Amino acid sequence: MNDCPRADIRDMLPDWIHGTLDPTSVALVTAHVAQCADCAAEADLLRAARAALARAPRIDTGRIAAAVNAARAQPRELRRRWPAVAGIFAVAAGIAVVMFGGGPERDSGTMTASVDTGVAGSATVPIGGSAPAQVLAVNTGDSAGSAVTPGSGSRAGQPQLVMGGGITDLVDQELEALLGVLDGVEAIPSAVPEPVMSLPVGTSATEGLL
Amino acid sequence: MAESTLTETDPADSALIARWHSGDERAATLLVERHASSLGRFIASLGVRGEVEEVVQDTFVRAFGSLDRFRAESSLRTWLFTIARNLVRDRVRADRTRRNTVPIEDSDSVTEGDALEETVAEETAVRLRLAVERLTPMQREVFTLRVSEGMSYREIAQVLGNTEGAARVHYFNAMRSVKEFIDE
Repeated sequence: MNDCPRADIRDMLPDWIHGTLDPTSVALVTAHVAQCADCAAEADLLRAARAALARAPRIDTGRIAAAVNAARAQPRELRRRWPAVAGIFAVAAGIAVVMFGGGPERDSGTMTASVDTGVAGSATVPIGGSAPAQVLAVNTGDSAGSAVTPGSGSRAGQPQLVMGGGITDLVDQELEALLGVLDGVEAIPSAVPEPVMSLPVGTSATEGLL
Repeated sequence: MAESTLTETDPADSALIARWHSGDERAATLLVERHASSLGRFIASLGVRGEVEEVVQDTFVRAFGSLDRFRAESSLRTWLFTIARNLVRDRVRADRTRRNTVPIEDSDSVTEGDALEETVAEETAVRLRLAVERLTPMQREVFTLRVSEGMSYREIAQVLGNTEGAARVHYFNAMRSVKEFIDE
C-alpha cells in the first residue's frame, strides 16, 4: 500500500471518515479520493481500523452514574448540615466548660451526648432529665473517640456510637448514624447560655436551662 | 489545512453540565452514556485489560468532582480523556506487576494465540488490531484517538500534553507501520 504524495489530503482522511470536515474540505477530499487509488485504499484501511477498534469493553453506565451522583450527594448533605453541627459543637463546648470546668463528675441520672470534635477535646452535654444514663459519643476528628459517662466511664450495655478517623472515611451507614445523632442533639437550644459560675448538675435548674 | 476544530465543549455536553449543576441527577447518566464507551476503548488501548470499567468510573467521579472548575471553552471529551490517561499512568506506575494491567511498553503485542482464538470472519479486524498493538505506546494512543475517536491533532495534543506537530508526526509514523504490517 503506497502513500499518496498529497499529505494535506491524507491528513484529512480520518476527519473525512468521521464526517467532521467542513463542506469545502469534504468536497476537496471526496473529489481527490475518487481519482486516487492510494487515498481510496488508505480511507478503506481507516474505516476498517475504526471498526476493528470500536469494540468497547462492556461498561455499566448506570452504576457509574450512580457513583457520580453518590459522590456529590454526601458532601452536599454535610455542607447543608455543617452550620448546625458547628453551632452544636460550640454550644456543647461552652456548656461543658461552664458546668464541669474540665473535670468534676456528675450524677448518672442524665442522658448525655459526648461530642469529640478532635480539635478542642470532648464536650459532654446533658440533654435530658431523670432517664437512665445514656451516652452518645461522636468523634469526627482524628483523635480516638470516647464514650464516657462522667463518674463511671464507658459502661457496658449502654448504647454507644463511637467512630474514629476523618468524616470522609465514614461509610454510608456510619454517616447516617452520625447525622441521626446530630439530629437528636439539635434539641439543644441554639442560644449560648449565660455563664454561670456554679450550676448543680442533673437538677431542675439544669433541665430548665437546657 | 482544514481540520476538525471541535475543541470546545459540545453544546449538548454544556447543557447537560448545566442541568447537573442545577441538581438534575439524570444529566450525569446522560453524560456518562455519551462518553463511557469511547473512554473505555481508549483506556483499553492503553493496556488496561480487566479494570476498564473501574477506570472509567474513576474518571467520571474525578471529573464530576471538579466540574465546578471545568472551563467550558475546552472540550469536555478532551478533559475526560486527559483524566483517564493520567489515571492509567498512575496505576501503571503504582503497580507494574499487577496481573490484569499490561505495562505500556514497546514490546507489547497481542500473541498469535490470542489471534487464533478469533473467528475467521474477523480476520481483517484481528490483523488490524494486531497492527495497532505493535505500535509504540505514543503511536498507539495517537492512532486510537485520531482514527477511532476522530479527534483533531489539537485535541490529541491536549490529551497527550504535547504539540499538534508531534501528534501529526506520530500519526503518520503509526499509519506507515500499520500499512507495513498489513502488507506483510
